Amino acid sequence: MRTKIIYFLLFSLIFIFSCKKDTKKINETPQSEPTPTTNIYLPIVPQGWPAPSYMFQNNPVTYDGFTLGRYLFYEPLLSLDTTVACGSCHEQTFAFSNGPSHTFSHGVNDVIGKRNSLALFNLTWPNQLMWDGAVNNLENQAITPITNPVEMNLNLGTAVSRLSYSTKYKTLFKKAFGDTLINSQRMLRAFAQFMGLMVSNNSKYDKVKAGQDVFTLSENNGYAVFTTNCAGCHTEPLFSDYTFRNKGLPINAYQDSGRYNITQNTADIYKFKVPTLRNLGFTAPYMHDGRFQTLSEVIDFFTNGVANTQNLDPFMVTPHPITIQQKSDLISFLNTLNDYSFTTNPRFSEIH
Amino acid sequence: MKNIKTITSKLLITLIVLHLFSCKKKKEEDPVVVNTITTGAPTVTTTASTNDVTINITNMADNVILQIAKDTIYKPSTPKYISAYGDTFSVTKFRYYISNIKLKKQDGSYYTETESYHLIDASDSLNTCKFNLKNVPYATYTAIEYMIGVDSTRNCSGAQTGQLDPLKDMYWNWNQGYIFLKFEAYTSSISSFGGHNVEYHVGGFKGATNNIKNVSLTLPSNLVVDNDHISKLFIKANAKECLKTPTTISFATLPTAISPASSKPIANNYTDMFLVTTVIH
Repeated sequence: MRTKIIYFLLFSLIFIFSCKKDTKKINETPQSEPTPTTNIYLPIVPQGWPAPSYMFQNNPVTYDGFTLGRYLFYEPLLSLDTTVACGSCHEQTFAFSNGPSHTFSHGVNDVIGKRNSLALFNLTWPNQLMWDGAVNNLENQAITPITNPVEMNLNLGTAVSRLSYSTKYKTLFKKAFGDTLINSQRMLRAFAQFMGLMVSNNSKYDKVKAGQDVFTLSENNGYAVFTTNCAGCHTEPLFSDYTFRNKGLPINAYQDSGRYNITQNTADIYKFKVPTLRNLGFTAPYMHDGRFQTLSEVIDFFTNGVANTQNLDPFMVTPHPITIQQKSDLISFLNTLNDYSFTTNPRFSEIH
Repeated sequence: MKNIKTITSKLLITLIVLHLFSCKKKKEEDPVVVNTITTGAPTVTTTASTNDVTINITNMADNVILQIAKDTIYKPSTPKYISAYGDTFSVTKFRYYISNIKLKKQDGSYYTETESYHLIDASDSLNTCKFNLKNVPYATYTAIEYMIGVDSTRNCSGAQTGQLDPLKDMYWNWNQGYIFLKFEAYTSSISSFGGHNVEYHVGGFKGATNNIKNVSLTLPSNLVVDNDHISKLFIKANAKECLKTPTTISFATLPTAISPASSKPIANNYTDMFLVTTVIH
């Protein structure tokens, strides 16, 4: 009899709790996802760097959210014919760019795009992403390559439903967000957690700045050449001011008008985002169309190859001649911006 | 002992059933706390001095109710309309966002709906064209104001859900931001592309290509919110306004407008497509 009473009480308690949970669910808002895990991966803002523009508001980073993002990043299910993942054109070895053999990246069915895959790191700082600034918030970045016909070419709804049918992703979403609901917001936020934590700040340059290493004479001279000729747009410490500029590339067959596609303002024709110079040693080929294979070619263009095209940046109107020695020093300096610990960090490596 | 056992199990079942019902009831009695703001904090207003107001939107083609054609070729049953320019057409898609709804009180102050984003779809009137404004304070209201489109803040606030879920097919991937309005049609005229399809996607929230439109409509009679009934506002949206004043649109010369700059004339045209026809208390 006593046992029965105890059972009663137990049952009642369970039901009371179940009721409470229900009420909580009604109260839950779509904006505030539960944060089930305390295993926090903290976003990194290196000392002396400006405040990032994406601060993970409404999207607190957790180990499980980050890990879900990592699985998604390497998930070919997110392309139409399940052959292409984000990681296919953004490989860690190449600082998450596409590597020297790809001027343009290949999408599903081997369709070729018209731009060179950007390297991915320090993505919480620019407030507009992509070569033309098509994306205004890191959380929505993944939409563009997933749905672009020349990239992964998958309807976003299909992407979400493919994940919803997967037992693996049910488990991963539950770990990350507390329940098995899979929707576009959760998918995109997990992507942002993974990509947002891809911070590269451990190059020789960073160590020198922190007083843990010293430049060679050539690197030091190259730093001076950089400061005089490049730092106007490639601002330290991110090595880009993230503005859009026409640096005077001769117009090629692709006739890509860049930023103009977004703003439809004729003053933006031929302008592209100033790319960062960090990890240049891994990210060849260079420019939005990958037209240069080596840093030497890039420097030759800046010193000797600028074309006076529409909207040429004022800074490029006057030539920037440098000596052969200065060029060699500049390359030495630029190579101090390579961060091997980033391209080999197991945290970001391929996972399935 | 056996008797006690039976009674116990009966009691147990009763308890379970009772609890089940109590749970359900709680859900139903708890309608207030659904509205949210960006920060995620629930907005709870006491029900004592507020009531709901129903908004009922009817999509029109001038004086007749707009019908969405299921086929992109004319069949005898396909509803046809004639534009201000003189093109014959049927509408295959008409959907748009209205957001940031406010009701203006007689004293000039406002009721503002929280999380105010509504995707209206003429092909799904049953589910999208009628909704309730929650917790409207008791007062007399003289006007309704809202945006056609989505405010710039929410365009830049990252991954959204609900009405603003990019899965709603009202989002540009190539130039990120919401599509405010889609007007798609099939016309008998032949366009400069040689086809019969018309596609207008209006969006853009920045600088010179900002196509967010603010609408302010004076009510034909005062809207009284009290504890008597749920008051109703009936609004007509004339799809044909997309095609006229100030710019008379010819399908042959403008078969598509699917970017912020090219869709600007359509946005300027539809700013005046709404009319409050009736207020019922």
